[in-house]
Parts: sequence; structure tokens; C-alpha cells
Amino acid sequence: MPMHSGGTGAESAAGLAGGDSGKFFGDLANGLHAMAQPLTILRASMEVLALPPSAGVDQRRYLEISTSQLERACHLFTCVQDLVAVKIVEAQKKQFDLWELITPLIEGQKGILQASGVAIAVARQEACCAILGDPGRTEQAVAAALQMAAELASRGGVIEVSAAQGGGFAELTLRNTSRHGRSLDSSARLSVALAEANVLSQGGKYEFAEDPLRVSMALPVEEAARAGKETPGIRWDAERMH
Amino acid sequence: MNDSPCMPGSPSSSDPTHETAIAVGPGPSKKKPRNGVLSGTAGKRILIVEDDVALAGFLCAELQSQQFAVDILHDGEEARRALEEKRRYDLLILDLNLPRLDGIGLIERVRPSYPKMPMLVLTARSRVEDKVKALGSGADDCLTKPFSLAELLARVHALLRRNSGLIPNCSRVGDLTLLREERRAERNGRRIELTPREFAILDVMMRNAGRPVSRATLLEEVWNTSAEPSTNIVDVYMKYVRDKVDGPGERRLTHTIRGFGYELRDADA
Repeated sequence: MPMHSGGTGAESAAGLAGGDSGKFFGDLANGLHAMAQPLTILRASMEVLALPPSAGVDQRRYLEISTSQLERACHLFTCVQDLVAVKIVEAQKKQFDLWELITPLIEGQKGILQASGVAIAVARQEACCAILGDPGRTEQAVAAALQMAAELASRGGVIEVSAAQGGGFAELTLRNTSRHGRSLDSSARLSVALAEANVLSQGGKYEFAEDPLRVSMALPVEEAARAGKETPGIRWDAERMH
Repeated sequence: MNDSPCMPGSPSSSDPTHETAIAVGPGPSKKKPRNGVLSGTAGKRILIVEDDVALAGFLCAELQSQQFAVDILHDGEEARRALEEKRRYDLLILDLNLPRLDGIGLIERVRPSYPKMPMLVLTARSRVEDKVKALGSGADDCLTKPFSLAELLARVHALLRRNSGLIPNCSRVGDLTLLREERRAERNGRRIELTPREFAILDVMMRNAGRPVSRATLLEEVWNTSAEPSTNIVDVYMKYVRDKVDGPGERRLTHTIRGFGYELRDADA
């Protein structure tokens, strides 16, 4: 499966007039398309709920459907808002450690993954990955990638997480070892677009392959860290969490 | 793919009591449809091609509650394959924004093989150009998301009526009466208890009263499968229907057309 590459976003971190506005509007249109799905269910459920009692409607069922679709619509709305925010608000440039940031995210997924029989293998560097970027956006991008990897993994599958440093970037890679055979819907595509925008807005690089899922995000490292470190390669002395 | 019970090929895919892909609540019931009026469209087969699993499941449940038999597929390529395998549907409901093969591509591919099958496009694109393009590619109707459920159901009924002609609620052959809405059959005041399959057979025979109906047609109309010379399922079920319709001492209405099929006619008419 070819990787979709977001390239570097250093030149387009903010401002709608950039050359990538076509992609931005495409992503925005996809986000609105995604929102149309829960809104359709919500509208239909409300119509049914508005029927008189004589219609014999199972009100609880439609209320539950409405609640879940309202939550889904709100989540998608937040994603669309964040997508716009990434475009118009400059990313922070703060120093932070990549592993410190992602460890709680991985821990947070452990329970869900355990329940569904999926393992997560983390190839962790001893040295830290000192990033100069926006921790909030990085966290959002990593969380989205982890969640998607978890959703697309099947029982017995493994999600590999690794990091390498070189060429002024720290590259975090998440990949599912097995294929999922599914096509991403518009909600998933919105999630990918937001993650990509988050990474590009920090002057990073983003690559995405759908099946098997592989997400690679490269973020600029801090100057001092850049001088000293080159990761010789990924060591798969993986910490496996089942 | 997901485990939607509405997937084509599943033995329960047309069972209106079956749970649907949507995560909450029970599936539709066999209760009388909420809007009450079916105009002979009940039992029609609908294929939904929609990549949003929740929306597809919701629509499946709502259409099943209207007594339709519904299958779901989530990408255009799968739908193309299913239709090329000659699975017969009375209506195709499809999203435009489908993975692998988009809605327009799907319509263009399958329209030549299904010139009469109504196709209803659901789209989140509200531009006139998009609707014109969908209709121009062969769709019969277009509905913009988020749409009203009442409007969707009205359009579904209208498209099915348009294709099949108006089927009256009540048909009569001699002293045999079939009431489609009430799903009731009577002969000279005698209530005839029929299973859903038997009712479907009698429905086809009543619609073609006075004309021979081939075994292959019954197999396709009632079982949704193409003709298999080795099966005698039509003859078996036809005997059940005949035993119930032509009671002892009653004039015979069901007739065997040797080497072909059956005919429903009142010899005295």
C-alpha cells in the first residue's frame, strides 16, 4: 500500500492563503461530510420520537440512538474546529520529550487493547527524543493514530510503536502488523487529516498508509539534541504489553 | 468488514426481526408499519450501499420496520460484485462518497444490466451540479443529507410504485381475495392461513392471474435466486398453497402448466 505523504508543513503552518489551501478545504469538506451522517440519524430519530404515543415507538431505543449520534456529531464538530484552528493559529515551539508525552497515551490504550486481544509492542530508546514543537498538537496526532490503530487491529494483532532520530527529526512510527481489509470512512479520514495538519503545522512530516495501517510522524528536534544524536536503527527489544 | 447481519448472502438478511448493525437498541419488529400504508411494496428487496456503518444500520432497521427485506454493503466495489452476481433487488439506495468505487461509478457500471431498477442517491453534497451529475449518470432520485426519514420513506415507496406499477391492496380471482396490507387471504369468507413464503407465492400468482407463471419466475420473485433445475422447492411450496387455496369441494383455481409452471385462474370466469 503506498504511503500518503504530507511532506513538510513548515511553509504552511498558518494562514489560509498558502498553497495547500486546496487540501485544507478538501479536508474540511470531508469533515462536513462526516458530520452529515450522525446528523441524518439524529434528524430521523427526532422525527420518530415526535410521533404520537399511538404510533407505538420504542422511545428508549431512539433516545439512545440520538444520544450516541449527538456525541458523535459533537466529536466530529470538535475535529473540524481543531482543523480550522491548526490552520489559523500558529503552533507552539516548546521543548518537550516525545516519550514522556506518548507513554501515558499508550498506557491509556492498554486496557482497551487487552480486552480485544491486541498487543502493543514499544521499541523505546533509552535516550530521550527532545522535540521542539507543540506538545498539544503532537499529543492529539499521536492519540488519533493510536486510536485508529486500535480500532483497525484484530484479535491476535500487534501494534508496533517505535522512534528513531536523524536528519534533524525524531520520527515516531505506529504500525499494525496485520491487514484490516476495511476502507476508512469519512470520520476516520477526518481524524487522519487533523493528525496530519497537527504535525505539518509544527514543521514536521507526516506519512500514512491505510492497510496495513502505518503512520509516521517526524517532528523537528531541539538544536542541542540534533548535534549529538543519530539513532543507529530501531532495536526491537520491545516491551510487550498484553 | 463489520458483522452486520444485513450483509447480503446472510440467511437472516431479510428477516425483519433481526438485529441490525447499529449498536443500540433492538431491531425492528414485525409490528404494523408506523405509516400504515404500504401499497403493495412490502417484501420488496432493497440494497443499501453506505460506508457509514451506523447510518447504514439505522436505515436498514427503519426500512425493515416497513417490511422491506434489506441488505447492506459498505463499499462500491462490493456492491458492483453483488449486483453482477445477479442478486436481484427492487431498489438500490447508495451514497455517492463510497470507498473503492464511488457512487457515480457504481451507477454507471450497473445501470446497463439493471435498466429498470430504481436507484436513489443519498449524498452530503448539496450542490446542484452534484445532483445533476448523479441523475445524469443514471440515478432516479437524489436526497441530500441530513434528510428527513419521512421523506426518504416516501421516496422509496414512490420509486417502487413507479417501477412496478400501482399494485392494488386488494386482488380477486373468482371467490379468492388477497388483501396485501392486511396480509390476509380469504376464499368465499374462509380465512386462509399462509406462511410468509406461501403468501409471497400467492401474491405473485394473483398479480399474474390468468397467465402462466414459470417455476423460474417464482424462484426469482419469491426466493430471490436464479433458476436451478435440480430444485423442486417451488413445486413443494406450490402444493402447500394449492392445498390451502383449493379446499375440498371448492372450484379449482390453481392449475399446473406441465413443463413450465403454474397458473391461477377461475375456470368459470
